[in-house]
Amino acid sequence: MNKKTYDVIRITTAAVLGGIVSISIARSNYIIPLIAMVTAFAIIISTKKKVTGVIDDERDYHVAGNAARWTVSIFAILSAFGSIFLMSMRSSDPAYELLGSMFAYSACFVLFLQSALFYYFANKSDGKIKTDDKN
Amino acid sequence: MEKSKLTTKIKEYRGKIGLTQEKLADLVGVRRETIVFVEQGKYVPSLKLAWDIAFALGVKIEDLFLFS
Repeated sequence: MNKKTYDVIRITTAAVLGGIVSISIARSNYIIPLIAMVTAFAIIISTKKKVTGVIDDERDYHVAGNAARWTVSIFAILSAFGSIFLMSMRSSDPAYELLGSMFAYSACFVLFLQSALFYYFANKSDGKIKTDDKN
Repeated sequence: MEKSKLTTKIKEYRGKIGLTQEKLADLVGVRRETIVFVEQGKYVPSLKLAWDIAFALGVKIEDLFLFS
């Protein structure tokens, strides 16, 4: 199987999964989405194993690293400002305080996770996530 | 410190032996897009990839990559 076929299967699976999850949740059924997610995950993993050729390479990891770094920075900044703004609005509705706290804690969690993983990859390994390097 | 600019002679050497970007990518285990970016000097490859490309083209690594 080539990468193009794999991409088609991956996108189709994701689209079908999205549809199943949204319809099931709208009908208050929470078992079907779980089964669908596990099935979709299994389909994607088994399909990926059958791909001949390169799916991703060192440039993709480099780009992914940059994207992740920017994502964390933007998310942390927006969450910080968002939580400050929502906290300042708590006098009008106490629910804003809860929402603001949620933003603040999620930003803290993401920053903590990023620091922990950075420490791990910087010290405990060669800085690379294990991949299926065919070379 | 001024940032050095990468120029490569991959295209030139590739043309000499009639190797397509796709074929070279297969030989060194990367996607074709990566070869395109390396050729254009937009992506600085790892030492391993640079070595693999040089080996695939049958030239010395220093003949292939030039930093100015």
